[in-house]
Amino acid sequence: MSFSPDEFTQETPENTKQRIQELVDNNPVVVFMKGSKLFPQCGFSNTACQILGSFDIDFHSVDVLADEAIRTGVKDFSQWPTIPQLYVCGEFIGGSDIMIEMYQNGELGEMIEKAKADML
Amino acid sequence: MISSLGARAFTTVVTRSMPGQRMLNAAATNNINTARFMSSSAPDTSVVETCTQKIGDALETTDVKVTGAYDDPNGSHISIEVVSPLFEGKRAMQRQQLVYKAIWEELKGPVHAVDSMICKTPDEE
Repeated sequence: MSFSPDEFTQETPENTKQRIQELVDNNPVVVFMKGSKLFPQCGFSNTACQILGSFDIDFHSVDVLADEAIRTGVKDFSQWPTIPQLYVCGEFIGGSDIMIEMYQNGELGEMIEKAKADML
Repeated sequence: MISSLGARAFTTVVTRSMPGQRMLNAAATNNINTARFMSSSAPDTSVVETCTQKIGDALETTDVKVTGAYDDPNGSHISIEVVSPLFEGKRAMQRQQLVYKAIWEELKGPVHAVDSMICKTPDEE
């Protein structure tokens, strides 16, 4: 559901929340970030992509810089004020420094394995 | 408070940590206006002080250390260290969420990013 900049009617917060819920439900691994996974536009978002990339999975990324409604909406949705934000199997994990910690202690790897099963 | 200084104040504060942009900004901005801001009285409390206060209150602790990047007390990037018994039994994400909630308003305004956040219980110190 793309949002044309020519439209004068703004998406309601409810609709944005719904869109975010759908993204989180339909993608086992999704990261809300600045830029795309091919071209991250912030150091923290890049870190998130590097970590996810190391698991060799097909994760979904949402560029908040290209979607102002999601940029603000996801912060209320997660009750988390910064980007990037990682969701695995519908559960909010955290930002890049939490991802680093969980990657190092193996927790993230376990969660990704479970998510892989959902991707088949 | 910070919010009473107006939009130009934010612009100047944000670009303070990026020298290249600050030069461009100074060139583009009316020098008199810049001088007026520079000579106006400082805000009653800095961003760092406000965050320290709010985090300490919310986490019921005095062991709070907030640092502005490049030692700027009104920096748009901050680092946080907190020790609080309220973190007991909580995972990293939940602990950070408590701290973020305490400074939610600042994060919508002057603070653009938290470069690092360390949340410990007194036992973990």
